[in-house]
Amino acid sequence: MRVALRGLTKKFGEVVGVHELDLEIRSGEFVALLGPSGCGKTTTLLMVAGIYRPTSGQIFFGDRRIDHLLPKERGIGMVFQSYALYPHMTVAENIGFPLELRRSVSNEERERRVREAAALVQVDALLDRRPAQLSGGQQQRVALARALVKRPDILLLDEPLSNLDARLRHEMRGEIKRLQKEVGITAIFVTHDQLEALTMADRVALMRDGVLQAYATPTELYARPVNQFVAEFIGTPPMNFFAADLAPRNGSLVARTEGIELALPAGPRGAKAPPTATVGIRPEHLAIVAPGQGEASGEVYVVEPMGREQIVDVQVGERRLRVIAPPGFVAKIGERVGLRFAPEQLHLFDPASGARLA
Amino acid sequence: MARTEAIALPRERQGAAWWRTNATALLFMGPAMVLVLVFFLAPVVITFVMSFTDLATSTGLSNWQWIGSANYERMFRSQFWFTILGNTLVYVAIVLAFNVVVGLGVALLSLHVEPKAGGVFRALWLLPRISPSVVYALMWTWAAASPPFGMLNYIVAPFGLEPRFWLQSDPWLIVILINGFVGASFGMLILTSAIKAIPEDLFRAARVDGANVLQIVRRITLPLVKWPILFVLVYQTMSLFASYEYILLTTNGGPGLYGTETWSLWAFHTALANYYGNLDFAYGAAMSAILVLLGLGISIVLLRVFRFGQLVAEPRVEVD
Amino acid sequence: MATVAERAPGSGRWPSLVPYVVLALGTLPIALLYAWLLYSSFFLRVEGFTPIGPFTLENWRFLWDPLSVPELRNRPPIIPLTINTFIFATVTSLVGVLISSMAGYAFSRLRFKGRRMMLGGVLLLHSFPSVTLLIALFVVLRTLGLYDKLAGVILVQTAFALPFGIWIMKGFFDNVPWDLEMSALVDGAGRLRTWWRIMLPLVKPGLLALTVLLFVEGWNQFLLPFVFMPSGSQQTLSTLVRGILGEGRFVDYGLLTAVGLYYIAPVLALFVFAQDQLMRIYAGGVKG
Repeated sequence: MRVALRGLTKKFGEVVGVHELDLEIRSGEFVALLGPSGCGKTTTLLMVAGIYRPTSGQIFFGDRRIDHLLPKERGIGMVFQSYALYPHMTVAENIGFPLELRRSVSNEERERRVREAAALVQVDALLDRRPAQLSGGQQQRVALARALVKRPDILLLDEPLSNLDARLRHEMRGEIKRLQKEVGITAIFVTHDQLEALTMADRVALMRDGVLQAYATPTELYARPVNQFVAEFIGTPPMNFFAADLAPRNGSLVARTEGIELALPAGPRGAKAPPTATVGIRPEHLAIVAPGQGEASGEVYVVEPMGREQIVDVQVGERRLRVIAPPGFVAKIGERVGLRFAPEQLHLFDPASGARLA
Repeated sequence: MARTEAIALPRERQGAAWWRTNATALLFMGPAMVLVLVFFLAPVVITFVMSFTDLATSTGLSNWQWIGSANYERMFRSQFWFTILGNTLVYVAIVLAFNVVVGLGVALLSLHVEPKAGGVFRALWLLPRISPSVVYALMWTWAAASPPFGMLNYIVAPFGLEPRFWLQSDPWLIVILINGFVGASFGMLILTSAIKAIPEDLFRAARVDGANVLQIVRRITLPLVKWPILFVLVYQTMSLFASYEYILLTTNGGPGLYGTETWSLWAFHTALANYYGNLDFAYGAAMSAILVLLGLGISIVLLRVFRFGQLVAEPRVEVD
Repeated sequence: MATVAERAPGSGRWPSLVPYVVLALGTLPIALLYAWLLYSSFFLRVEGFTPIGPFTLENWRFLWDPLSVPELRNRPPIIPLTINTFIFATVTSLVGVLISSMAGYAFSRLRFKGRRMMLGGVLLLHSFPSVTLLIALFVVLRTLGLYDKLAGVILVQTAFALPFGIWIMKGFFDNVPWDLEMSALVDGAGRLRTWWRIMLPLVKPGLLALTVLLFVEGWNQFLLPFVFMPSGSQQTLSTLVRGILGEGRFVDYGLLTAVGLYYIAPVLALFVFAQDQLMRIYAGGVKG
């Protein structure tokens, strides 16, 4: 089922929760609503669910406008952050609850479908337990089964992994992704964790302060962030930024600031180059080289070994750049090093608006 | 703008929209609203309206007349009103002091001793409140009974006091004790939970700073439960002005003419239980009206001062 | 909350005994009253603390032989009165809890016109001394034809309990996570079903505590039946005890204590079982 949000706005009194949100979700697509807390992503999800009424704007499921319908009339399944399993019901009763509310489903059919849904998420051995007797991961699975049992057109997930410990989170990440593809359901999930969004979603809608910042595939978001906020939010450790003066040289552009001089392969095309820009480069696109080599030089500020790699902060003039170095790299604090920038991986942003320049 | 109009969907005509928004609430609120309307709001209005009539047993419910403020004039011309007002003020002041001081004392002490023992003491203090008023009154009537029965005589004997029939000789003492022991549990409960809510670190810090128990109580505990104490004071003041059940069950306003009669009991006696058989509803309503006004006034103060704003957070679901 | 070890001064034995002694002395009158009620009912005559005569069940003969008790001769036998009292207490508590939990849910979870104002009204009535309305209620009951009827007194008692009950139930509903409510709505339940199937089971402790509390209040209620139900056939235990006590002539305390103990026993039993819940609900709901 295709989902379309048109100019969706939600105000709480004077406070704007979501502002003029336009979003198209293709049938069978898995979309993440990503953003820092308070960005309006959960508000958006709750409007799609019918819990919140939009202040203005429209929501379409397929070709049908549904923003005036009650939650129960919308054909949605939802998994909540806390799972919201009914503590006084067994697992079977929890999963069967959405069917219990439908006259058309007979008792036998309900039992059969509960079993099916439970098997789908591998909790069929736990049907007689109560939620309190389940582990976090099992509760998560039961919540998924309950959301799917009535065969909804759309699956909504609100921070589905945030209550799990790190190992389980990894496991469920794959599990939910597999399940979504297996069932072929259109799904929207809300998360504040960019790693979850990038690993699970087909497309990611990144929001800030109620406004959509970017809507693209994880690869695009990572490779060509449309503005500085997106560049900053996506990727760990986060991208390095520094202000630089732009000057033409030999037909191309050079970005220059204290201790750094970069030849830009392709400056802002067409329009006249602005005098200054914010330059961004991801830590993984910087390399530590011998002093005097590379485009910049500085001193090692701190080294954080991470096992597979090391994060090295290098002091260059007044700013500090973060670099990912191979595990074999050895350096003392204060040691002088050079930095090499991968030329194809530079991002330029307008210092005032944060919009992408090149 | 265009979007705002677009949200007015075909299904949502004005009237239908109102109905849709409020029908569920009406269903849930309906029974409570009816009962409150008939048995709370209507009586408040009726009390005031009635106080300007001559409604009594003699007039019946149909033959009454408007008589303006005659009931109020009569009340303040009565030769007893000043005595009764004095009784009421003395009664409220002394019982209030007893309630708050004893309630606070029991709260502090019961939290100071072993938790188990403290719980037992608090339960004992709650007993009078959860006991039927007639049985509780019976126990005090007996305790104050004439020699050789009453327990009080045996307790005071070692202090050289003559045995006597306390209900006759010292009615106020009994009235104050019976109400004091019931009312103390109110302050005890409120203040116990208020003291429990004080972060433990404050006491630890004070102890580390070298404060002794009395200093902690005076410098930490009491200042921090100042608002709950004030709340108990105001709340109890109002309920004492209005209450008369235990006086009715022990001295019944006696001995003699209006010996322990308070304002609320006066209203009760006038309108619902006098000896002349002509129940003077309207006159009693005038007496009550003053108490109703006082009750409403103090309730509004309680509402405003103590806890309203934070209690009315908006619901987070917009589904009808 | 504070543990004893941390709060007690702990300097020697003597000071730590003082609070116990003070508490015990202060509580002594209450303990003595109830102790007297208990043992007085098993002796024909008690002077102060001293029973005169042997242990006897004579005072309890009203249970099996109502007609031979002179004080009870002109009164209905104890069993119908007990049934009246029980009906009164049960109906007021069940109806009160039902209506309170409906309105409490609405205040906690629904948006509707006038919610703020009505919630203020509930709080106002909650502290308002309803006993001042008795005279006007007399007129209301007369007008409705409910005067001198058990039903009328039940309605008044239920209404009086509502501001407190609604407030308590709202508090319990407020503590149920919003996710559960949203989940039920998404799963396809309407508000009525969400209330009945999801919310009520989750506030069961509150329902039980409120039921017990309202039952005790109904069981104990004296003024309402006394004023609004004056004829004998529908009296309750409270008006019976008051009737014997208030006759003013020589009082048979032996008999009276037995009747009183009979009357108070269910309340004490409930108190022993539900003491913690009752204490909490009293403290939380500010029930004076």
